[in-house]
Amino acid sequence: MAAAAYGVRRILSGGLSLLRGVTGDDAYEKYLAHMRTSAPRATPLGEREFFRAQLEQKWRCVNGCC
Amino acid sequence: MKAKLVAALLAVVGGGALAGIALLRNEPINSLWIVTAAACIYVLGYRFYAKWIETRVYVIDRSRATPAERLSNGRDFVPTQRWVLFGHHFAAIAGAGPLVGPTLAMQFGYLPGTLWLLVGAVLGGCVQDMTVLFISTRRNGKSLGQMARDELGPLGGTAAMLGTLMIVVIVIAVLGLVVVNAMKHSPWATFTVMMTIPIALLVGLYMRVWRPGKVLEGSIIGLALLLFAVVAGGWVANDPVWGPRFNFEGVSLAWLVIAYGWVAAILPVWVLLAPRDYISTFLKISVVLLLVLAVVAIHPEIRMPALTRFTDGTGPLFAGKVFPFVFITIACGALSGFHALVSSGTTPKMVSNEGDIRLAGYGSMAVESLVGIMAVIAATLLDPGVYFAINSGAGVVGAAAADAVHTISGWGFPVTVDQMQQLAKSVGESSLFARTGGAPSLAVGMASIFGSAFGRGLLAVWYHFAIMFEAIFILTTVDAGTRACRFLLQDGLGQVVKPLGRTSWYPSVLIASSLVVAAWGYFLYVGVIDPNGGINILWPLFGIANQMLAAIALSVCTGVLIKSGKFRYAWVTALPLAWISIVTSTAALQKIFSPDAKLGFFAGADALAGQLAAGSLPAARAAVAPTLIFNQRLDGWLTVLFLLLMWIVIAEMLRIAWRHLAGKPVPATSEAPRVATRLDAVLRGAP
Repeated sequence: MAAAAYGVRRILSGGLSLLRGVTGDDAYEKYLAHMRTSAPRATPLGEREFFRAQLEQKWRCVNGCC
Repeated sequence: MKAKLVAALLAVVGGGALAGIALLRNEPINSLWIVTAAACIYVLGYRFYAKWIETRVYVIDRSRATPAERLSNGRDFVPTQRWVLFGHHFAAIAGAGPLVGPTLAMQFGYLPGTLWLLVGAVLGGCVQDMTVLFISTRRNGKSLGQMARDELGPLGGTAAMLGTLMIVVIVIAVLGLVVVNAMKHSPWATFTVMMTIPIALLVGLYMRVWRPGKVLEGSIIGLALLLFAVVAGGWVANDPVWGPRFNFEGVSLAWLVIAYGWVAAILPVWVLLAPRDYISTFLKISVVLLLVLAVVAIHPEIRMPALTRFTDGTGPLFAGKVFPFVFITIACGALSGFHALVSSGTTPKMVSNEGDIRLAGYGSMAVESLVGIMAVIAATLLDPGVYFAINSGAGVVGAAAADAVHTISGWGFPVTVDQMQQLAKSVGESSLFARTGGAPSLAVGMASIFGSAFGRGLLAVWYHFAIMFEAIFILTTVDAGTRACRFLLQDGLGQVVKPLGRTSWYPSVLIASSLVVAAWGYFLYVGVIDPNGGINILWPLFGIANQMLAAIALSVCTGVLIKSGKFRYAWVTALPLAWISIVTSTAALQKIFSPDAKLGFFAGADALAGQLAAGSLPAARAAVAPTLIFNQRLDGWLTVLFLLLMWIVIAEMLRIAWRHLAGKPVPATSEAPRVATRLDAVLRGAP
């Protein structure tokens, strides 16, 4: 029973993290993680600024199909 | 040993199902045959052909650092878990194309389109997408145009850039036409589609102001509001006051879409474009899953014959024989040049290991092909008479319902006015005659699948849900495409007049956006006023443009393979290239030179000009005739241009290949040098 509950929880959390990854929901967390390892002394962008810059850059090229 | 057993089993089941589809004639087949054959073929292709290409042709190197790792900046270059990469890439390539093309191609019967979807994807489209993704990943995520310039020289590069710009314009126009035709005289559909705009604005504000970056929350709220808008559309349509206010003519809707495209292109992306794209990604993934489950659960019978009489080229949806036009009509879902732009866009910057390229490139395309198969099933489960009544333009079968059913029944596809009225009533529309563009018939098919699986009482809601589902992709293509084209154009204009190249300088933004919108708006407008439905002209033009881009992409791939000393394996991309260049050239030459007024662009223009001069056209048609004549000639010249661009790139590739094989100097490879990866395989979620 406990094993089954654990399995269900794992599937759900796996699905959620997949969904967050695909939609870009976790982009800021990834960015912070990147900044922590590669430039620990620099001040990272705030969530608002990061999201703003992210959108501007994403929509400059063809990134969707017909 | 176990793998071989599984493969043998898949081959037997898939082959049996395919043989069943091809050989069972004169009796209806079940859609489960098609789904089974498709699933087996994709798995075999992915497991064996793609694996072989990955190890023998590309010789991928799992210990080599990808650009996502080497250039990691936490923003666009981000090492991404392989299933997230797959989802991201699938969401980027899948749109309305694989739904509309297969629907239209069903005028030939279910067999040609189904076979092309399966074979074209496994040997052509999937290979193209994966190869472009691979070579772009090896080149720091460069775009197709840049790679064409680097690897084939400036002529090939310019041709590729020009081709890209033009195909985006045609794509926006043709998809705009699809959505206009779906909303025409349908208050329910119009209200629901219009509501996507305030909903996107609200979600945009939510993600920007209230909860910055909370994409998932915003998307879920947006989705809930959209579902509510679908239901509310029914109330509005039935309201005696509000219903008529959302009842528009095609031309008014075309102007609305044009105005919308212009506004959306100059607004900041967070306002409209980004939030709607987020909602649409969410919707896309959930509806595709739901559709596959529902089709497997109810496995409807296919009512369309395997082949219809229209393989001879006299079809009412569009003119032209099954060869080459089935291969032009179905691009997305089998082989689509547009995908090469996506595969050399954001995805290569996210690949964390070369071992993930097969799943993202080949796997995503296989799923997109499956979406095309779902569209085939949705179109062919309808009575063929109903399918033709919905999809044939008034100019082809007659504007009056009685004339239309008479003509269509005369073709051997019985249908009655009563049957069509019943159907229209059950989906909450006033009429379903001459709803060209593929979206309405697809929506009827999808509604009947969802209705059977989840309750028939809601047929009208499911129908409008399907329309909204298609419209939301299409509107995203309209504004994202306009924006992408604007940047391409600003880049080009900047070469001539320096300040116009400054992408955020407002006069430049306004000029470039207006030019782009005028270009596609023109084709959209002409399509809407065309009494034959417009799709019959615009969709083949789009198909030719898209397959021209596929030929360009496959040329770049073949050139790169040969230059990197893999001549003996270059057939992997050279064979699809040979096929698609033959198909595209045949179709283009027929559209240019055919004396048949329905098929040839110039012949069509001349015939109409003759009728106009003789005064034999009714007043309404005579009024629009000059525009239609000019447009057909323009389309003819565009086809000439597409053909030239395609052969320029192919010739450049052959020249470079010949020089390389003869030991003469060629442009140096633009591949980035190898650096060993330092990413932990466990962390990236590799198997």
